[in-house]
Amino acid sequence: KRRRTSENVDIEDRLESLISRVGEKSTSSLESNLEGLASVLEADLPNYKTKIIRILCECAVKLPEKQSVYTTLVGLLNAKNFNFGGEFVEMLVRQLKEMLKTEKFEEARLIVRFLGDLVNCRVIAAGSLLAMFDNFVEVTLEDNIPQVRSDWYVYAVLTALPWVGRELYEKKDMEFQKLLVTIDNYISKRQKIHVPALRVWSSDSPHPQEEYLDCMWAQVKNLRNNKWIEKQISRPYLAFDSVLCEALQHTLPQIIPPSHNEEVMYPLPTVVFRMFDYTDVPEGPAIPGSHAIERFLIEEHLSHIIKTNHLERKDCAAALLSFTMRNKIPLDYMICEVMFGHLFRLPTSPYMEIMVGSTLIELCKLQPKSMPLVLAQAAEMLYERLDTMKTTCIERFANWFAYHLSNFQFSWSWADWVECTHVNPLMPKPKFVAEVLHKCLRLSYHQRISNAVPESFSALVPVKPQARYKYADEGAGQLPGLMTAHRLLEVIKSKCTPEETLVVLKELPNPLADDTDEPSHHPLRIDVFVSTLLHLGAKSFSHSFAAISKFISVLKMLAENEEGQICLLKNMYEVWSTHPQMMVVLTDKLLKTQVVDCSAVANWLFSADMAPDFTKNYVWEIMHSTINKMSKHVEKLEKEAEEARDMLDAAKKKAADGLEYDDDDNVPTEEQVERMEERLELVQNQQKRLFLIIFQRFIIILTDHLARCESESVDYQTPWYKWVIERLQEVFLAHHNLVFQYIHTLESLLFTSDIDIHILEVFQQFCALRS
Amino acid sequence: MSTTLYIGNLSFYTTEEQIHELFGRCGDIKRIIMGLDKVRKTPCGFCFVEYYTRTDAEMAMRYVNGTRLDDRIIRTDWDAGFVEGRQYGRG
Repeated sequence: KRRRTSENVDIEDRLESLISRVGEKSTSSLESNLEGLASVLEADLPNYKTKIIRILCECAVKLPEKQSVYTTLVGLLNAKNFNFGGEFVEMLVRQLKEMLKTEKFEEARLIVRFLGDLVNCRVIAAGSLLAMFDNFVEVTLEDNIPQVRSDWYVYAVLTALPWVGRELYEKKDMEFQKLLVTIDNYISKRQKIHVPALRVWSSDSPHPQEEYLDCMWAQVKNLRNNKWIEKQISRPYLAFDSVLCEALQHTLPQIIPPSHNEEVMYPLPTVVFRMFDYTDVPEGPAIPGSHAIERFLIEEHLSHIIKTNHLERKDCAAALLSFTMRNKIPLDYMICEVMFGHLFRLPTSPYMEIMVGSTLIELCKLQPKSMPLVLAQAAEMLYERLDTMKTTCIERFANWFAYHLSNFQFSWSWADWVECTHVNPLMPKPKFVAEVLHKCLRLSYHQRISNAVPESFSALVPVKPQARYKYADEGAGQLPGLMTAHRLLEVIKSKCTPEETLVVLKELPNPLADDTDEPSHHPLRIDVFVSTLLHLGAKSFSHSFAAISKFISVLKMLAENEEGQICLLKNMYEVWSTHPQMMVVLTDKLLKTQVVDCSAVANWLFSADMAPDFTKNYVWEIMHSTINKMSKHVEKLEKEAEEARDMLDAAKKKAADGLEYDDDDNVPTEEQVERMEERLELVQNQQKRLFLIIFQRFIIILTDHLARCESESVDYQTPWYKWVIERLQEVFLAHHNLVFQYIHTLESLLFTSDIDIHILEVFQQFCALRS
Repeated sequence: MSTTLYIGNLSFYTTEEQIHELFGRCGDIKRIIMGLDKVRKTPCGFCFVEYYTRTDAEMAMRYVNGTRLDDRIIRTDWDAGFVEGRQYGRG
């Protein structure tokens, strides 16, 4: 192996920069840039061949939006140097196989597409590509495999066809037709139980929400009807036809999909997000129809730009707006649809919500004449379609909208939405507005938000957040703990120790003592202490945290068991019911300091005391953050236990090989590792129990509702039902990787055949995501 | 690697709650330290936000820097980490 000298490094870096930047904006034409680069690389091939191949392979996967630039470049190099072409293809195929084996399916799909485009550039023989496609599509004939496996292989083939369909049609029509027949058969027999779980809207009006493979197949069939000619892909290789047609082609080796096993995680299916059609675009070029292949190609291209640039929102916005064919399509609308498609994607969004929000703000800055209008139109349309929108998506929409407004002085034509103030406040529209205003309040302050909306919206404006200290209320004289509360207030103010508060609390009688000799907890002590402590820390989050930290030992003592913890959380609610954000951060603090357990939080949220707020977003904010906290904890212990086990095993191996034992390595003992593993098992069980509690409580309240509606002969489809059943769905989807571990337990313990079909359906749709 | 950000150009009226709401959208916040006027001990336009992880802090650098809070374009910078006393600005 040659040593990398500093000169080599310079040249290699230069090559990397030259290659990765070709196709970007430039003063000269793309063709002349490509020609120039091909000559430079040809000259460098003798010394830097491996490096050049490596860079090009990387670009194929990492810069898919410039795919045809790179396939053309490879084509030009292949025409000059046949061996290079061969080695490049060999390397790319090796990568493809590796990606398939390591379950990097999206990267693998991009390589498949790239290989297809290499047929156009006369690098690969059409017949050998078709052979690979045949192998892929043959997966649909395998027995006992999950549908997601065959779906992926078919999808990989279909998404390459806009590029290479025409070549296959011209050169291998018979074989190509056969392939398409096999795909058609497959598409017609797929199960689609999962679709309701993934749809953003339950209604197909005004736009059908199609399953992704169905939609793709419809688009490809249209492409076939157009003789495989599309209007979207830029094909720089056409300019080099005379050079490329002279080149010799390579034959792809056999590429056989790795066989299936239980462990493999295939990509989940999706539903295509659509919010605009040509009637929504007032002027300029029309938006391609939903079954036009161009619609897919633009969406895919924009998605790739976002993926490449999502870590730099300014670059991302600029790159989106300089889309190659921006004058031939209604670009602002397409960007908007793709961005919202990402935001609303189920089961989970591929990006943080704030990435979408801040990039949309950048787009408004760069395109101030049109983008804000398109976004306003989008917000208006989304609002109009709230009634059938999924709860999770309504929440994401509300979070984004509040954030967006906060960057634009909260100005919005609220008066247009006044109708929502006349209907049942549990209906999606008033609820959405109330949640938006709540989130606006969290980013701003009460007066500002009250002033931002018309008088008629006052019922939807959140009340001013305030701590309520009931022992200072009028009529507090009736409260049994009043005297103690006041004394406690005094001693804490005079900077007492935690122990001294216990002395004060001691005098309180336990109201539970009348019913039982051994009360599980002491509700009155908890009440007096928690109310007073939170009241004293009410000034800010920091003050509250400081108060909790100082008296953590007292809190832990009072809330020894789950009953006590739930009681503590109820008292927190009494104090802070008008300040959801405070409850969110306080619960978080109580969990982190292990004053309360995750299961106590879940049980509290489902308790009767929380029923008035049960459909509010903040309750679910707390629920999901609790689940996330639990899973982070499990992950951490898993990692620690695994590392410790590895270290111990390595040390044992060393010892067995007769190597000296090194004290400095901090190798854990067998007992230590076992203890860690026991601890891990314990928290894994806690995690499982948490999910079981949540699902069980869902089943109970939903069953209650359905039974009550049936006995009273009223429609069960109430607004409350919509929120709750869709929150159940959300828990499945938002934590799908975790919940899948428990699927058999859930099936045998909770989601059994005797529960109501409406509840069972949610579970079945979830299971179908991976079946 | 620091997980703390210095946030500048805040309004004097912006509260810890508002900062938590915005920066909490980028990740789990460990603590927020409000910058205070040396003399009056009132907020004076800056704060520190500390995250548990570097990744979350990076998200805030990417997506919050240069956007608005309380109608002001706020600035985020890496900070070596908060030490007691640094919350006091020039009075």
